Amino acid sequence: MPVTNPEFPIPDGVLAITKRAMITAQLSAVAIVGALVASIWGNTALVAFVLVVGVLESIVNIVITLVVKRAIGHVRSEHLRAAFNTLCHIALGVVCGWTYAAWFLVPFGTTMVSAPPTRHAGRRVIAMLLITDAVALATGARGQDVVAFTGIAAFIQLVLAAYLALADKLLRERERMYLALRAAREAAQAQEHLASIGMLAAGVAHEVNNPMCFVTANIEDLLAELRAEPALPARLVEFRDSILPETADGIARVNSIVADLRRFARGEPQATTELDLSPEIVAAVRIARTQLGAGQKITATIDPDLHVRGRSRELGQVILNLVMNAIESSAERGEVRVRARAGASDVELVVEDDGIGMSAETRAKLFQPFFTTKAPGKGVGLGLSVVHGIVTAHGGSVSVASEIGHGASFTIRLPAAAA
Amino acid sequence: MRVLVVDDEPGIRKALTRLFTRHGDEVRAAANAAEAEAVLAAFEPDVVISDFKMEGMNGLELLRLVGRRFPRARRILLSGFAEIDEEPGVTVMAKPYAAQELLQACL
Repeated sequence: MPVTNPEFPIPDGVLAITKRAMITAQLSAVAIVGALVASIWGNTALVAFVLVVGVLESIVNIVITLVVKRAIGHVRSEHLRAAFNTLCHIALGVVCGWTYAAWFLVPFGTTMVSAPPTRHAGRRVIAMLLITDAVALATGARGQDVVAFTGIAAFIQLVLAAYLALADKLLRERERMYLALRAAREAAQAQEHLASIGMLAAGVAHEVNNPMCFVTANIEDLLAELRAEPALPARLVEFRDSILPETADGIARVNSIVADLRRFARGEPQATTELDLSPEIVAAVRIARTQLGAGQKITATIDPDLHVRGRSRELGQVILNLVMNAIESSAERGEVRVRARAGASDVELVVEDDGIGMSAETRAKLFQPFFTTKAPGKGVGLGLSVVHGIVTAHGGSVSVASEIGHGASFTIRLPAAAA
Repeated sequence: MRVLVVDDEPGIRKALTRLFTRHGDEVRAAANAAEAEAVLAAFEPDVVISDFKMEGMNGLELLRLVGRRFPRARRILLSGFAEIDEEPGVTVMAKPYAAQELLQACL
């Protein structure tokens, strides 16, 4: 069986047919040897020799298929099979005086080593025939028999090669479709995953916002009352001056994280509007900070007034995806740098990490669909191909500069909204 | 001002009631649209503030009703939800609201 993509499960039917073919081959061999034995019946020594060689050939072929192939690979083991079988057939041919029954083995032998129909197989068969013909002629076979049976072998080879090529093509086509389907399914699952995370974020945000309304109001009101109190008891002064203000700050932080989460929640498809990318980038960085490792940090230089035309949620997701990728790629005590500025006619965002970088090969494939360097099941990101899709749909461009050992730098450019 | 506050969260009703009472306004509270309608039978509001998601009629539908019955009243929708479409005549504010902004929107 030709080994194609190891991830493609060879359909059961194909394996069954292949097994049947092998059994048919074995039975044919038995039939031919039987015919040969019948043709020399009476000569006990000869019959014994033929049977021994016949059995030996079967056993060795089985051993090659089951054991040797694993050790030295398909091509070499088929060469071995061809050599050994040719030897046996020549031996039988010589010993039986090149009767027709003996000649049957020659074309039959060529069919045993023809799959898959490659140049190796072709050369193998030609070698087998040439050597057999040479020895046959040298040991008394009739010229016309040599020509006839070699011709039959060649003819069979051509027909067989055609059918094998067809089967091979069909199988590869099946494999290609299977892999494409599987990739599409994985992409759909990733999208669903993202959608359900978005829904979860929306649900959480909503639930948190309600109690945060009165938590915020109550603390603010209490603080206002304490400040308004002219004769505040000593033990309450600390509350008025630091504890409650700090509480109010803590509440403000919770409120902004929840607001940022809501930004990225999945909702109805958005219309294109003019928006300022600056607060979106600030929000993305704020969320990403929560994912930083112990020694990592983010530095952000984000200019205000970065006006573009687009869909805020999509662009927000793109920015968050890049920053999160940068954090994941960054070294343990590494730094992610985010810079955003307005150019003459565009808005430019650069996200840099100081991780291990990537090869030219990876860089070339980076924005292809389904390309990932992460382990299966890991990474809940949009995937850089979706990032690429969203940015180009907005009339912008995304590019990456990276070298092994020197981190990576992603640059997004978006056309500025007309002032 | 006469203010009607509608929200199914008791803490929010209390906080909004306190806010407007200190502001010197007359405040009524309701937990859902049905209670709100009962209040509105005897209370003509200058401002109606409603949560969106409630049992029964949602806040937007309630505010439309208020708009038809009390066309001069200010109508404010407080939303904990990600997106509410714009509605003419209704000010949509996100939760958690900023007290000053809310007061501004009532003027």
